Amino acid sequence: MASSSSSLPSPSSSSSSSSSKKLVLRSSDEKHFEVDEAVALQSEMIKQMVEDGFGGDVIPLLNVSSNILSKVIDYCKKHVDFDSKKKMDDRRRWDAEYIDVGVDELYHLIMAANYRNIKGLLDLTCQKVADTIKGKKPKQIRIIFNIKNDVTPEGEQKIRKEHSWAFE
Amino acid sequence: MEDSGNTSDESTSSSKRQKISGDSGNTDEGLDRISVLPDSVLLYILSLLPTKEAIKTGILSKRWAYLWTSVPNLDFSDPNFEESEDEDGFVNFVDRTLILYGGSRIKRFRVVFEYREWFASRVDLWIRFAARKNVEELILEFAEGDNLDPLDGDPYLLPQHVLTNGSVTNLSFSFCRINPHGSISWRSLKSLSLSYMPLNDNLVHDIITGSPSLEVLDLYECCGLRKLNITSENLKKLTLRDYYSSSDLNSALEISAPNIQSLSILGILNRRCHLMNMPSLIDATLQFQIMIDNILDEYNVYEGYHNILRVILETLQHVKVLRIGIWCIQVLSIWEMKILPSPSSKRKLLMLDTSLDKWELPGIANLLRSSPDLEALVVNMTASSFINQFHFEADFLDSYNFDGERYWSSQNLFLHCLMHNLKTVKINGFTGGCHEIELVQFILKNAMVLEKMVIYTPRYAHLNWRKRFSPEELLEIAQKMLSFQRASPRAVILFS
Repeated sequence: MASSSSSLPSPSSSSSSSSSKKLVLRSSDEKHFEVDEAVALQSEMIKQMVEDGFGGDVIPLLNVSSNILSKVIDYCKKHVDFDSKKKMDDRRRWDAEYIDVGVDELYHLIMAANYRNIKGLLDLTCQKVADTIKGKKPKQIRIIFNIKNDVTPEGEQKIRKEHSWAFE
Repeated sequence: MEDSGNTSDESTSSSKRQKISGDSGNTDEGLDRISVLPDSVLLYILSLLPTKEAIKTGILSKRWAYLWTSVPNLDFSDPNFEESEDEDGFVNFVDRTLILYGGSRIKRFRVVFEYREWFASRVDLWIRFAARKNVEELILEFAEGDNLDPLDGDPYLLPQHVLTNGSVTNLSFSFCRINPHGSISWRSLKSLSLSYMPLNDNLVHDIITGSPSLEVLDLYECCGLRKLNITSENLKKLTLRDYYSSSDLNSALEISAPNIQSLSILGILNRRCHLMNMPSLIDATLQFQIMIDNILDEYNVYEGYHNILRVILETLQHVKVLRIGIWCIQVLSIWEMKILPSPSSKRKLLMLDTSLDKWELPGIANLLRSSPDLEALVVNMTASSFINQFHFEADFLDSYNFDGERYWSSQNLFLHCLMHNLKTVKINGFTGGCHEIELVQFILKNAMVLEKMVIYTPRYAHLNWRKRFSPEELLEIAQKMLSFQRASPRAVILFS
């Protein structure tokens, strides 16, 4: 109900990108990305770095490649926008499309979100993994995620027996 | 390794893998990415699954074998809740899972099953277990379905230690009993939901007094309540859904809450509801239907219901945001048809859950008339059904009949909000029906300061009462509406 008040017309609340402060991020393959501070601050880690006085320099992101970083920035940009407008429906639709990616990309996004501490993106990516697991047989889950089964058949039998109700 | 076996099942699944992980220029394909995620991330993923599913991941590989035993959320819901054939199996499963559980803290502990009184001592142990692990969210849903009479059967008696738990932040109980020997103390509690619980005024008072941090209170189908007096400073949001009690039908349910900001009254109530002393209220949702068996004894039915609603709306005059459902709109139609005055309000945003059926239109006109300051109107197209409708008698419909097809153009309505304040109109779930188009035409023609009209067409094909447009149809309707006369030169119309 509270969010419904957003239907009232609001004066241009989205940050105007030209005037606001910029930060430069550097990916592991040495590419530079200039982004609005508000976008970069979606990451708790970058926020912490800026608060500690690293904001003026190029912020190196040692283990995020440029293609993943640009995807992460996409997410943060869009969500700065969503936060200002509180459009839940639009957000859900955009998120669903955004997260329609392969397992490898999903992995890199989770790692980036976890390391950078971007809560919204971590929630979204982990929920995607959970939804993929849900309702599937272990065998199907192994195939989707390339999980190598190193449990002996006896070991597997034991676990199944211990939790017979779960495996019904 | 069983995955290397070439069964037909296997080959279809591996083509699926191609699709899911198929990424152009991908050199990493075939690597097990998920299993190398840090434990904290995997546990977070497992915490998003029902516990049964989380346990099943234990046989994926050695990496996963014991991960689930530290998952911070335990969610036991019996999939056969409706049929309830194997309650013993479910209870044994919870017992065993808790024996194997190795986490140091439980954040969320949820159990959904059809409770039977002979399970009481085992449920006591589960809750003791969760409390020892400093559970923050405790959710016990023990009711069966929606039509349970809360006085039937024996609800689960909550153990005393739960009533003085200082670490819980969210509690949700359904079909449980609270019988405190001493005071209740939930000092961290922020959100409390009680459904199908036998309550009384003193107990609710003790709960609220013992929960100084409580912000959100939901009461669903809680009989026994007569006077709800909420003076707590932190409690901002109150929801009341369904109230059906067969005793003392003539007494009203009285709610007084000087500090709450948000109030929702939903579902079916079988008695009058008096709202009093709500000066801090900002938004209110009235999606209820009142059904009083003996209302005829006192009043004419129509007058009876409209008096009840009038008193409620008078208490809510200062509320800025009002969301109102079909039954209330129809009762307001009676009001409008009988040309009775309506209390003027200060509301700025009005949300209508309406089917725009003929007998809702006068009620909508009535609401617009009583909202001179209205800046935004949201129309949520909603199917009317037996449970949200007012039941007009044939003689009323005959004596007050009117032309529903051209209601807006046939009424000479001078609405203050349209002339001076209404800037935004949104229609959700627009189906292109003639009542919708007529309303759009009326608003465009009369809203002098309108800035934006946004029309959302349905996205969900499975709601079969709604029509899904082809792009051509949408274009046709859009063109038609764009050609309507607009009173406001600034008005834009958006379709989505």
